[in-house]
Amino acid sequence: MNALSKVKIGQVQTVAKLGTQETTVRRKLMAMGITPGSSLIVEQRFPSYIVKVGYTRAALDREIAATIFVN
Amino acid sequence: MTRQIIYPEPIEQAISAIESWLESLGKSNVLGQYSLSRRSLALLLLQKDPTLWQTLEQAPQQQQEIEILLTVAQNQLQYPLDLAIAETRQKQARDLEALTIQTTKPAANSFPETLHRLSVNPLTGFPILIVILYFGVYKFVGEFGAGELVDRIEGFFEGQINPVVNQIVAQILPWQPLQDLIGNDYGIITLGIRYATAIVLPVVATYFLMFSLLEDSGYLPRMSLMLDRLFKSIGLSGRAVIPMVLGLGCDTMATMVTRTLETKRERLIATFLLSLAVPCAAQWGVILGLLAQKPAALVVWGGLIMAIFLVMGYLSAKLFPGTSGAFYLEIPPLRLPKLQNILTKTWIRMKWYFWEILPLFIWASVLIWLGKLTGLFDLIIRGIEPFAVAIGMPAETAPVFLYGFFRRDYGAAGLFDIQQQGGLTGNQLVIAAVVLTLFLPCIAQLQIMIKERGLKTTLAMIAFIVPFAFLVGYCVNLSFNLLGVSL
Repeated sequence: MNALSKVKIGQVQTVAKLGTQETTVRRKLMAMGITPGSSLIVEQRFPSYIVKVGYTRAALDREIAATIFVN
Repeated sequence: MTRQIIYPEPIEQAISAIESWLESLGKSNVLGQYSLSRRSLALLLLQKDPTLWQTLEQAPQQQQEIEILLTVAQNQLQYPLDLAIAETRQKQARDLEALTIQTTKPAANSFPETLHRLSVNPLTGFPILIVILYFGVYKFVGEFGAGELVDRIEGFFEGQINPVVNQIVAQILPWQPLQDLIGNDYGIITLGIRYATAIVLPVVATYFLMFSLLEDSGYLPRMSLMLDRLFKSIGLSGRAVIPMVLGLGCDTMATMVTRTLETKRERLIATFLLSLAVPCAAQWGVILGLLAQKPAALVVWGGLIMAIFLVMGYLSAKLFPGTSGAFYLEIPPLRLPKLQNILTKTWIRMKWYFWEILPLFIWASVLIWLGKLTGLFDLIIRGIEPFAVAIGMPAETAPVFLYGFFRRDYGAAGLFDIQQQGGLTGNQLVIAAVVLTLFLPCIAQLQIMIKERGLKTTLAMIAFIVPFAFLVGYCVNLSFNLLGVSL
């Protein structure tokens, strides 16, 4: 299990765990389709994380990205 | 092909437990008012739906019982209930998608895709951001809207309307103060309505046009993600980019928009920075005109305001407890905006805004009229004079600071008049522009600040801003003198 900050850019990853303690953040991630079992691609890390989940693109800050773990 | 979703065992158990609990309540069930099946109610309760939870507060006994049921279910799961429910649903949706949708390989190098990459890549994205701000905000809103258009419409007022109004009031109203209320230097028509139509309208029109364009093209979220890190260091997040950019159009409107920020701390810092260091288009439009002949003066003013914005943001981020709000945003695809939509949006916003501020302008004229008539203004101006002199300004600039409060640009426009008569040096222009930019926000913004942040917070901010503005002016003057700078 790796945090998003460790994975290769452009590779398909499967979400394993959402580690955030904040309910609002977790709900928003879920609404964007980032749930355990879904696959995502990290497109870039700087200046913000951009991830592609299905047909959706999302920007995340470093702190949130650090709480998303993938296999 | 609808299929009931089967959740993991502990959740299904909890659902049946809640279902039978709801049934046992019978008529006393406060959730009976919702025409939902028991299963739906149970699922919403497991996700702690805020609306249902609020309804439950009417019956503390029932709330307690449901909490016990929730804890039992939660204890059997490794991760939060809402996450487990969402995950099951997502899985069902994915299975359904795999069965029904056939994807052709998406074009990786399509034009919008390339444009997206360029706009978010740090190497190309920051230059693009600067180019958009330069042409969109500086050139279009600043030079064209606040410069060219304002000059033309103002010229029309000064040449065609004001003389006629003055003549008419002089003929039909026998009393000088009454004439001044409608016409002459500070009248409702000759000042209030003139400022609303000639200064604010063109600025707001060009600004809304540019903003709608950025909005509909999908660029705004990209701007937020590019600036999130910078904004984090001043206690804000990428979300605050929108109110801050709006502030360059109109701070009153921007203060209203701070509502969209997530945490109280962010709303507080954003409101403070907007009232201190973000000049509105009417204001910086006039300041640009004022300093246009002296590029060095313009750079000093811009650099100082930018530095104060960042330093004060950084300090308030240290001072206010808590952390910056989390930043997450969906990034829509870039699209070519539809002209019709943009024009309609701009028109509706302009109309709304104009009717919102017109009464405030008329009030400002009436207040100035009252203040002058009662001699109250002379009293305040005499109070400001020593401060004006202390920051190296001639005493006759004192009224500028008072009027600057009624509209941020009244003040700057007043300076313009003094400068036209050749009364100010380059140094004095810079000091005046800096102090006016930092000084109290206009009366309309103050009203919105009180409405959004409360009277106490607003007074605390004002108590800091006024002395701070003069202190900075004083320091700038002092360093100009010490360093022998003459702009």
